[in-house]
Amino acid sequence: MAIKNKISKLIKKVDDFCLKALGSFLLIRRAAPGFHMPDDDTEVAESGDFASRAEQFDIKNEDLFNQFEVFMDAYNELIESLQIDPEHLDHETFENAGQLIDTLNKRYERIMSNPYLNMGENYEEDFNPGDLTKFVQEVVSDAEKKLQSVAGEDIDISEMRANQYAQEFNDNKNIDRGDQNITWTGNKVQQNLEARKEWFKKLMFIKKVGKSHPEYERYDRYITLRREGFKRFLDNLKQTNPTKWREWQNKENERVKKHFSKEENIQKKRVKDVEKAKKIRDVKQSGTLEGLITHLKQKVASKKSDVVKALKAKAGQDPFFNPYKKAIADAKTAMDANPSPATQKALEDAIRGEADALKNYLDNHPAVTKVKEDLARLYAFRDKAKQASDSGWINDEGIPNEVKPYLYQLVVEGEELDQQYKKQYKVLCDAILAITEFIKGKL
Amino acid sequence: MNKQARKAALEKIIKKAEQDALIKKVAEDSDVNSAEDATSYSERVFQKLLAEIKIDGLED
Repeated sequence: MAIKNKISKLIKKVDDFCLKALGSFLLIRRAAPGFHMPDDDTEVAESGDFASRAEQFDIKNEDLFNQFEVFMDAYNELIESLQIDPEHLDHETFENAGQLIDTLNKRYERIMSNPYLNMGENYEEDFNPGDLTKFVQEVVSDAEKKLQSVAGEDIDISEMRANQYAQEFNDNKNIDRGDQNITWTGNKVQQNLEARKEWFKKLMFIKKVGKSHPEYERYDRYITLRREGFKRFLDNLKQTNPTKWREWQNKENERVKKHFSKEENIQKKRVKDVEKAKKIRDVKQSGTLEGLITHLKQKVASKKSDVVKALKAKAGQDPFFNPYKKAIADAKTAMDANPSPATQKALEDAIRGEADALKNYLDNHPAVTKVKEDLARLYAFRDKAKQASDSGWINDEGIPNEVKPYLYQLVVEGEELDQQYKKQYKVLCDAILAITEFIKGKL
Repeated sequence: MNKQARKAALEKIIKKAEQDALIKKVAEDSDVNSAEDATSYSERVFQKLLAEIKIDGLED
């Protein structure tokens, strides 16, 4: 129910936003190609990212400059607030996005109605006012698009726009009724819009009912699409702007931390964890190949965790780090005696030195290298076993002849691993042998 | 620069950015202005780094 209310709220915000943002129809027209101030000759790039393009408008008029700056700030904030994993959408997120949309809209309107842009001879800028208003409009459109992708693909803002134009056409006698750009769609658009909203409400209802809903696949497709989009966004950000990506991750971590510090969410998580543990236990006890693979996976995870704990405990005692610790202590003493940017930087450098040494020590420790090599072989076996399990080759109707060689090979590989590693990884090898025995019993 | 070299360079940049963020976090969390002596501050920073730094391939 809560999420439904939040979505409804957001839809309302989108409605309000579109109504307001498209209110200045005549001003938007000023941005049309062909509109030029008489003394204007500076070319303005029409492609590239919005942040770079915004830099092109070196605004002299203080009032317009301030309006433009805060407008871009609102846009950047809005875009950032919208880049959130759908799974983590919460009341606060929607509230924030809603407030930012209002803010962006208000600032947009201020620019579009700024009389300075129509002052003619008193206009002092090096760029065409039409280019600025066109750019501002593009920024708003981009915000609409991003908002649409978060609010759901079902919200068709272009139809809202068409509807708005239709209303403008009726209400505003100043609009040229012969204008080819105006789309007359009347009530049909309104009906479609309402139908789409209902569709979205139904989608949220399907989500609420969960997997038992006969049309759950619809919601599943929808949410998969959005999660993939979010993943693409993060992957792209990681490659193009690693620093920004890290900042974003930190913010996300903070938000998740805040979310899970609330009592109701802690309770929900406990319930989920219990359900998950039960599910894993059921699979493990099911007597199937999948259960044995799950058991192996858990043992591998435990082994990794043990290795990490042991190595970090060793590093904690290793005198190798004494010089680094001393450097930090000295830098701290110097900073206490004379707090300044220089002593602060010296302390940061000392911490960085220790961090680099520690990272290098942990990543390249012979014990880690050896375990990673060994685990790579165990992973290969686990993946092959998983393929056999996922393919459903082993069932009550017998194993197809064509896959039997694959399974015999898997048994041989498992037994070889046991021979090679049983001294170091007894628990893992026992789990592997349980899998080979299971397969042998079915062959 | 071939594709592999570019990838390696990019990974290096990402790792550096991650490391920078981690150092910043540890430095901030460790509250350098606390009244404790320099040796225990240094030990606390070390323990924090030990907890925060992840071993590639084992703690991914």
